[in-house]
Amino acid sequence: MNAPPRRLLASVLAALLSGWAGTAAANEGGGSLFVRGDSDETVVVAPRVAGNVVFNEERTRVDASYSADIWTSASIDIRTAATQPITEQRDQIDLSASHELDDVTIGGSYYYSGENDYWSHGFTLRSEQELFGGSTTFAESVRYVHDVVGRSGDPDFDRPLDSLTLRASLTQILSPEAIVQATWEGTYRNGYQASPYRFVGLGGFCGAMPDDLQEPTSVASFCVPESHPTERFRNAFVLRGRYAFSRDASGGLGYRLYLDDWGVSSHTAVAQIAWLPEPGHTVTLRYRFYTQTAAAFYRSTYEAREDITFVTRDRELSPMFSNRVALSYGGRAHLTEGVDLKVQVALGGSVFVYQDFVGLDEVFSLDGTIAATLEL
Amino acid sequence: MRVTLSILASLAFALSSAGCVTIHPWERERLAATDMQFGGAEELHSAEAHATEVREGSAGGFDASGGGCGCN
Repeated sequence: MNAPPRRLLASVLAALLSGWAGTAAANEGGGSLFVRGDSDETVVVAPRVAGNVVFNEERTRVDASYSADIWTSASIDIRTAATQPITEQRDQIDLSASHELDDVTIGGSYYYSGENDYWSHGFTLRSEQELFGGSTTFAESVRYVHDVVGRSGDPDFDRPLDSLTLRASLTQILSPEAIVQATWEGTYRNGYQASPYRFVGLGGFCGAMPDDLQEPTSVASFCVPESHPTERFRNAFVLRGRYAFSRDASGGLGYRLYLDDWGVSSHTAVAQIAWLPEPGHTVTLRYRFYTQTAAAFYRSTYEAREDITFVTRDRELSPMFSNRVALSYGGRAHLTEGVDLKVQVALGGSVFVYQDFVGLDEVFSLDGTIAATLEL
Repeated sequence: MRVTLSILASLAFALSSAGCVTIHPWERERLAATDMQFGGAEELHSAEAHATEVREGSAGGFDASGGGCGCN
């Protein structure tokens, strides 16, 4: 993290702590640690600290957080580039504020994310209106993100990427036990969207052959840098709901339809069952299924033809599906007058299946998160 | 795209029809529980959601956020 965001974060955390001491509302501060490892030889360790203060008769709220991704990888991308395993760190700060005006809440947020070859600034404005006595909530937001893509070891490589996202959601209480939400999110991206590290073989495979490659593949006559379109329109539609079977059990379902003008379409289904063994304690089992089609210009191998405009070696643009299961527990303990401790733990596992990607068929991953939060 | 817009219009119509229902504040105790919240427990799910989303060709609609190239 470079110096200005670090000073900004320190100032905001100091302001939060001073506000925390002077208010009696439900303020929080805590930290979490996420660890993930997968069969593609990638390990991620992600610590996070966060706090918030609520004041002005609980109408105004300010949040701040710092998080990092420290990752070590020898993934298929790195193995085929014949480079050594790498370790890098991404730092991110998030700041947000919101204020209630009767039935309307307005807010804004900013984030900065930085690593040695990628920098990102995001700004969001949002509002939320309660209608029909609070049974209906309409929320909308606009977000602008400016990214700068660099390349390690090449100080002259500098490519911008700008994104504008609009989001609207409608949340409806159907009964004392049921609630549903519909969301649309659309994003326009303009700029460099390929990887500066990936090369694509024309007429064969480019780079070092993976040791476990099953199918016979010829070596490319020549390799070209990955090239993606500079513009992308993305649309996501989500419908989800929760239903309480009783005071101590509930279920939830969700579905997302995603479409973009690169030809990727996907379906995501989520389901969860929650059990509250006693007040303040929750056990949740979640399942997620995801499937997508390939981008229109994606090929597992490219022929050496002059009319090819875009080429990619991005597995996220190949046809794939995944399954994920996660189990989590959240509990709350009363420590002393006005002070509660909230502890949460989650364990999850995923399998990603690549149906047409040379050198990689499946990736298995395991992850865990532990979080502790003090509530004052 | 036509199918998508039809789905969106149907959902909007269904939800706006449901808007006629008013559930009083004193009837919402169960809905205030943590298991009934959309996108809750950010401290537990933000890194997990980021790690999942950067491995897919899709994005948006749910609650994942965060920047960076998603190389991890």
